[in-house]
Amino acid sequence: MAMKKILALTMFSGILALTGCGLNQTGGGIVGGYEDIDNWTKNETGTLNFDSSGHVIYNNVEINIFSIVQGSDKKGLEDIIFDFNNLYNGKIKVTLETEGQGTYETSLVTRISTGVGVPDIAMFHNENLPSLQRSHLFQPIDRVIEKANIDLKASDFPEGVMKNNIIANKLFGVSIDGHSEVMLYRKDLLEKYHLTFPKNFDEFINAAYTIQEGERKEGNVDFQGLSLAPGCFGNYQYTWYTSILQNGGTLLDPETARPNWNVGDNKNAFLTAAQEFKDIFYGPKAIAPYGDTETQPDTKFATGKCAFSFNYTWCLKDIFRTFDYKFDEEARGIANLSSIFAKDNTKSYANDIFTISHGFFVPYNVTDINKKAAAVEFMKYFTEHSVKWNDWGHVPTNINYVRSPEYTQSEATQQRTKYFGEIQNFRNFPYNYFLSVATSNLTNIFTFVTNNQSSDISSLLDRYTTDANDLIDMLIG
Amino acid sequence: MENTLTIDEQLKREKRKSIVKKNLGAWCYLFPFIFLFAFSILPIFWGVFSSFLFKYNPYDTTKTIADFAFGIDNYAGFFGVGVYAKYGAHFWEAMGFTFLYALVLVPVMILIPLGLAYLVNLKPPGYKIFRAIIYMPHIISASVMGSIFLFLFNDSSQGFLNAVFGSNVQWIGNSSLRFIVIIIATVWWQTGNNFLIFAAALRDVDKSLYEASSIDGCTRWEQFVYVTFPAIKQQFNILLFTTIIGYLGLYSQVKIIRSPVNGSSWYKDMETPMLILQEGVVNKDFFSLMGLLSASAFLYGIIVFIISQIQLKVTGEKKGGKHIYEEKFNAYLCENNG
Repeated sequence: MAMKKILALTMFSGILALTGCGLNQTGGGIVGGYEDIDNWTKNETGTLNFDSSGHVIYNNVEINIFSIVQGSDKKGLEDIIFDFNNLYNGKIKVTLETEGQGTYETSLVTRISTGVGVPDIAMFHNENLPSLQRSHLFQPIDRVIEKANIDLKASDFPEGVMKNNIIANKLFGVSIDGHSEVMLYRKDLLEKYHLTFPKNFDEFINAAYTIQEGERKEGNVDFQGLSLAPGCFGNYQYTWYTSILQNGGTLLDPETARPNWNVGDNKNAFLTAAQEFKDIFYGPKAIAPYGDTETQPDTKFATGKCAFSFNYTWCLKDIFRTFDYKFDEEARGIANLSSIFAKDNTKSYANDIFTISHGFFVPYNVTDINKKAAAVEFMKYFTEHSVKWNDWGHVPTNINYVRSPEYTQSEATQQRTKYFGEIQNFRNFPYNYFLSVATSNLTNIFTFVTNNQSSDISSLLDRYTTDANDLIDMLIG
Repeated sequence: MENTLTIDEQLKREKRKSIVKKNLGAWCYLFPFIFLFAFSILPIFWGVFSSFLFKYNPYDTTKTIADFAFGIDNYAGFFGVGVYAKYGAHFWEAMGFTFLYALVLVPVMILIPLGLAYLVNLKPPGYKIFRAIIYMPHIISASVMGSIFLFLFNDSSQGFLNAVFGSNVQWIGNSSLRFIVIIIATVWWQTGNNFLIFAAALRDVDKSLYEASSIDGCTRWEQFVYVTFPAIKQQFNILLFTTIIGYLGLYSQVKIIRSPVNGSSWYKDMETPMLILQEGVVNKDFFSLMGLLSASAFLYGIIVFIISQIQLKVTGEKKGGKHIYEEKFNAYLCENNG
């Protein structure tokens, strides 16, 4: 009994002691909004030395990149780092460390918040930056750009892929690419049925349906107009979001960054987009069965079982190898998603394409100004020499580079990238506070719409908009 | 190098060595406690403490503990008060959902393994193969189990059962059917563990007791009730204890065997307390809820503790009293001795 009392007393004292420690701790730090944004960096160390022409003199500065890229496109990243290290030999040395998408964020956040294994550049999808930045994990780089006199400007990048990197008018990093989906189509079949390449959704579904029915009549009974799979993000993300954008919708309210899916014109855009997918799977001119698995579009397209399919820009190189065919002028073609889901292709937003961008960001606790400057130097180099990255299906973001002969005349551009669409039309997920809250609810809307033919889209929009906003209210508190 | 040391330094070094030598044993004995304290007890303290920190975000690089409000706001939601009232309501809903599963799964996961172990213990021809087959699913991972059952019960026409019967049953999309699918998957996947322990326990029952009871004219059922069950009661109680705790922590089956239509929002997706806690820890959107999640974990821990204590009380032997069968045996002796 005495032992129990001692144990209880010890536990109580322990809690009190910890409580006391916590409450008596002092320290600075911001409480609340973005008003102290300039303080989002630890005390800076080191000084920059300049040569006579005003360029920073780097002396064996080592920087480490921690990247989310682990697929075959990692090779492109490694190649650019190799070229950079050769060019900056003795000045800057870049090393690369990668981790898979499943654990990357947790690992990155732990590294930065504990200060152990902090990378000098974190490379991840920039749509995650605003959410991550709620924990103040990264620092603005515009002060470094100014101090180190590096010619890197946000205005050199399209707003559609750069907006998430700017918080409270401060630049936190650069988007190095945009990647999306492209449409693979059968040129020969369009020709056979006297069809032209579709310019909007109605033309698209008509063309796919005409080919489907024609081929089935000729004995190819399991032929599909379209093969559409959820994809590696599991939720038809690129096509679903592109459809919303091309019909004039926004994925979040641009002013409040809140879900506004059931409001005014945005609701109309969502209703149109949802109806389009319902039509694809269940409409009178249904062109695709719901439930094709991830690899089915590739195999069905390669084996002549469908007229259209979608695929990721970064997968095309591998697909070419796997199926050993080329997108020649005769039979098969590639086209970007511009206006494919638009009901009215004359609208300004009809060519918008949902895209995800990789970005480079400098963690809050990188303190050495030489490392920061070297990191920004690498960012600039990458966006101006990204041909080897483009080769793996990533469209470059630097407007000047996109116009340069190095890019336009490269083999990758000629073979593939020129079909992916104009970077100016690419749109990232809008600035957001809670990405997963928005995306999970958008997925739920899509799944209900496509899984259940009789679903009332309007009430679904009301329900999920309310759910998402309620949750955000709780998170903001 | 040694020779260059002064006598004073050499004395100090010797003293240090002797202190280390003297205390080494003590440190070795203390090590398990220190290890336990650092990795088990201290985190519990920390969890309880942080459950009182409102909007606590341990990853925020610019904040210290002092920046977070200290109070009971994180607990208020569980009583329907404050900004977390909706969360609190959902937590109880998830708790209820877990209880429902536990209510079905605990008896099922005790009785089926016990029944199978009993049958295998009769040693029918090929019983070793049966034993292996029953245990084998237990060694596969949750994700493999999930893949198998998602394939079998897929809602689409390509799902195994729908394809075989040409049906269009929403096995996973329909919440009632999904409940049954999860129960079936759990029975298939988890029976092996309890089965193995019951089988080992049954093997150790004294065979002479069966012979004696047979001579006394016991039926098989009476043999089970009066001979087998008392002999394996210890193992039965332990398995009941671990099974109750296990299913109150239901996680992987519910997480994997699902279709997006099962979730209508984040709240609905987080169907059990364990799912809420796991999601909260890994999702960056919920970093600022770490205090709330600590409160949830603490509350959840207390609930599980209370339930397990009730179970131990109900199934435990009474201290000092006579065993129920001892009493019966004495009564029998009295009866027969007149």
